[in-house]
Amino acid sequence: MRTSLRRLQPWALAALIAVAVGSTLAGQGQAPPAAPGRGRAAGPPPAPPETQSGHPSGKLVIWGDLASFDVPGTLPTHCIQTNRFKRGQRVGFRMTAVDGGSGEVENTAVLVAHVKYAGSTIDVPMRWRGQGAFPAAEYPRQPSEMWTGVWVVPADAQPATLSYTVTATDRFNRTATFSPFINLVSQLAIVE
Amino acid sequence: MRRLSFTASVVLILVAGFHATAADARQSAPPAPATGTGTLIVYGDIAMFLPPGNPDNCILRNRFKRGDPVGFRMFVADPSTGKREESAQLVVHLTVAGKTVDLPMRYRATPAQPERQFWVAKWVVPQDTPTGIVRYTVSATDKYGRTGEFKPFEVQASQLTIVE
Repeated sequence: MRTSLRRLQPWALAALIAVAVGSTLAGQGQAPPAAPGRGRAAGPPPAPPETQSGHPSGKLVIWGDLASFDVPGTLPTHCIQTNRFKRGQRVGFRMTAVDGGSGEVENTAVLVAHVKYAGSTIDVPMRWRGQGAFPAAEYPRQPSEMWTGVWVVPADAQPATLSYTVTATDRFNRTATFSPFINLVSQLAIVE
Repeated sequence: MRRLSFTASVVLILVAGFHATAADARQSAPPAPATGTGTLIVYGDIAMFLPPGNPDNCILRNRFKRGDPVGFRMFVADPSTGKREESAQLVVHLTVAGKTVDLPMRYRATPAQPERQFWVAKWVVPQDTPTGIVRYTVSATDKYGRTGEFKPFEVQASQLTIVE
């Protein structure tokens, strides 16, 4: 076998390496940031998060809220909770994902917010905040339980109430969907 | 050459087979905790709880003035199903001026409004409350003795804050 491998043709070696690399990378879960405007730590894709022992167990559960992601961070409205946004404001989606059985954060989850706007659905990829830099003035520690995504209200948007959901998939192919509480007044709203 | 190709093919098949097995393991259904085990998952938000009909009733916010009604809205998920745990009992624990205030929550759904499948509690900010952040958590217990706790995201600007 060793002799055969030593004499293996280049094509076979390349195929072996490709399969092995594919096996290693498959299911690592956390997608790298891909969209612009996703926060100050955007840059090269971070390394995949480490495997968490005991996962998966139970259901994948996600939840979160809305906040103003106005920039710069020194603005008094930065990161305050609200569901009413004006044109040009940055709607911040903040979510967490939990491995139900362990109650721990499921850091391989990939989350996307889906905003229904002007007759179409806008997908807002979310970024796991457990990696990369974080502003210490805002966070007392690395916000490893949080995913964030930003959608900027278009300048020509009309006042309206918008619905949104957030979906998640983790490396174990568990899925989850979050919908905000149904009260109409609490929904994401564009105001004058 | 023919023998070599055969050997390479065998190796490829073995590696590919291992790869497929590993992928299958990752995609198999996760073991669900037995009924009544695990930790409850508690989550929710805070909103302005003004009287019905007021245009600001139920808007999301985290900054309140003295006299404002702070509304807590929570949901409790069973860890094995992800669905609402109906038997849960929830209490909001506020730390105000060095003291803890416990607010029992009530299940909001009624026969007339069955869609409101969450728990609520209201706290009117006392007039003597100092300005600044008011920390809070929400604890839950269900009929199986399971517990769970909610803490808001650890972001300073998002905390429940009393302002002038």
